[in-house]
Amino acid sequence: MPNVRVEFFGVPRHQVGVTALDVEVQSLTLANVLLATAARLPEFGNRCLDGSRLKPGLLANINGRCFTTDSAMPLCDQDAVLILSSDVGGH
Amino acid sequence: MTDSIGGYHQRYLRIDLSTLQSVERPIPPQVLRAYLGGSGLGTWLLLEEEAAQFDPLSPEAALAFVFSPLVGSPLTTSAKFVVLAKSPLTGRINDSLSSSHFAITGKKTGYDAIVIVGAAEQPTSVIIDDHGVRFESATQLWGQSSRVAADQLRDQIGPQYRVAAIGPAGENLVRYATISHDGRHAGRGGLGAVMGSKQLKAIAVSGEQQTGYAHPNALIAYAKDLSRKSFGPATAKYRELGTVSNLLVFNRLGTLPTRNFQSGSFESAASLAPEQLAQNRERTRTSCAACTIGCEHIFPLKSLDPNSANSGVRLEYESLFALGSLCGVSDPQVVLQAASLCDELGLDTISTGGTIAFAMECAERGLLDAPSLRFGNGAALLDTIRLVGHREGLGELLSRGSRAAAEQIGQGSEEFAPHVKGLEIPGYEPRAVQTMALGFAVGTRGADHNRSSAYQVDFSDKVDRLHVDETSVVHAIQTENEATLMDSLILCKFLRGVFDDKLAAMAEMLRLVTGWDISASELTKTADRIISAKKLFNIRAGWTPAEDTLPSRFFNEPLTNSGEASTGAILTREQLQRMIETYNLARAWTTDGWLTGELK
Repeated sequence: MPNVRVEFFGVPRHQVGVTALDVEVQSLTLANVLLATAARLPEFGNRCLDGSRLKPGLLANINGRCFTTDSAMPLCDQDAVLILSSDVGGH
Repeated sequence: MTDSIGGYHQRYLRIDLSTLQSVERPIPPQVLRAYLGGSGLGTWLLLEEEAAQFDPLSPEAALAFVFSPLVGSPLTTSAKFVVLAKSPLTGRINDSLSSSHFAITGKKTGYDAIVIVGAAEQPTSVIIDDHGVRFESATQLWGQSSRVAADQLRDQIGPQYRVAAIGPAGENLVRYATISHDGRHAGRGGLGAVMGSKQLKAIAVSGEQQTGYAHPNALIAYAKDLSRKSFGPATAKYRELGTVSNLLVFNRLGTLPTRNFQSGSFESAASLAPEQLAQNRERTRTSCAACTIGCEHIFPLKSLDPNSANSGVRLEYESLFALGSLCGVSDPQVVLQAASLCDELGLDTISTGGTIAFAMECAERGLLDAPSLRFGNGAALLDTIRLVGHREGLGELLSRGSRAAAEQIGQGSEEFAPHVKGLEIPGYEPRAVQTMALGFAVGTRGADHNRSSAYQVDFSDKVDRLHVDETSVVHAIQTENEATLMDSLILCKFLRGVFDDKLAAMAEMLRLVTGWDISASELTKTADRIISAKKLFNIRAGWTPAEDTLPSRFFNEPLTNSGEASTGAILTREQLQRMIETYNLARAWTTDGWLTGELK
């Protein structure tokens, strides 16, 4: 089954207490990866998700390159999904 | 007699330290509406003073402390002020913002700004209160840190005064010296040296003169709602972790400047994570005056001085990157000690780290005879900071910043001196955040993330941050306009995420305070005017299009060792030039950036 690595930074890492984990997802979309992550880490679901979407104030990044909040975004096997605070940067 | 405008005193105080005289001068209502306050009004004042033509460390140079229409209001994060002058580091306009009770109390003196010219014959403190202006000898304070000097001055004149002061670096005319108050700093551009050149150790303010508000009840209701929003998810990062949490994110993205911008990730970044900075003891959290966000995180410090009462140091991402990865230093205690030392001496941490990192690379390349100055040598970092603060030994050369040091060292070092217009580059690797690269290049005060804020575009779904082109310019202009308005009203940029429509929100706040029926489109024109006014100052100070660029390193060396996310990233001169030309035309300037007419 396709595998995606989910990495947590900043507030999400602080909230869920985990640096990263691997999830297996049959249908590779951001929404499915987020839901699979919540199944493994209920605290992530409780604190970071509204349904299958990231809560306001959070943002996803794919492989360190592409920023998105679009839950329908298709992913590839072995992708990395970074979960970040949406206000990236600042002094 | 002019009609009153909410939020304004409609006058400023002009103090001449050479004659020890002061006068009040009116500010026309149309000027207030055109330039708002803070950074905008300060730019107008510097143009009025014809400050562009003078050496920034000469007696003729003007130094302006400027308040704003919102300061003193119930709006959260509005307790801010700006210090402006021609920078001794860049020779260009410099506005440096800070937050504290100095802003609130300074405005209560009954002025929208305090402009200081001339130079005292001996170390002097200026005291401004409801009885007027007086001058006290500061001979006993000279040589003290800003913190100690402020405490001693308040012991002398009373606890009701709020004090902004310089440390030894300002006295010694280090060109990136800060002005400090309540543990906060107006940091960039060396305005502490401007105070030092005037032998002005401290300025103390006290007063009871309030301005009214056009719609006080509605303003209070709006302020309550804004405070409630400021507790929400948009500010959680600042509240819960502080900006130091950026470091690991930037490292993962390959945008963390490392070893003088030789790469975009630092192999020891994990050792500088917030939890490593606060090993053994809990950090504490505090906030600026009148702020509900509370972004200040104070980290426990093993002090270098056993007699020091300072057991903690406030740390931001910019200080962490500049004194950590940029210098290749991975020991969190060294970084905290370096930040504390900069605070005690009164040094801008970004320019301090940038200049020393540049010297480290020069030393490693054999261009500079400094055997111990190597990336990763924390002891050498601390020693060099002390030398800079006192302008001793190598510190004499480095006290003038990386641009001047490169001019003296030569041998091609100019290509990797990390500055734009003389101002050291903040913690965003330009090859990997290319909209920000444009912001750095065209910034009127030099390489600057806070005046441009274009990194917001790179860290969004609007652009591919490694392949940015002219289409990103419109986004860069929008972030710069918003930053200009926030710096003139003044509000903290950490609030930006709570607004659905920032311009509409700013227009509404201004309406409630002043009574002006002001639209978002008028505010856009205001931002344009303020940015053009800063450009006008720079043109009068000798600006040419050639200085709107980046160091050659960013065009000649693809990023290496920057992780899968950014390794190989490169900017071309042609790519940046096209963006600059598009930017200039969008600002209604000529293609190469000259103004096309009078300020509108």
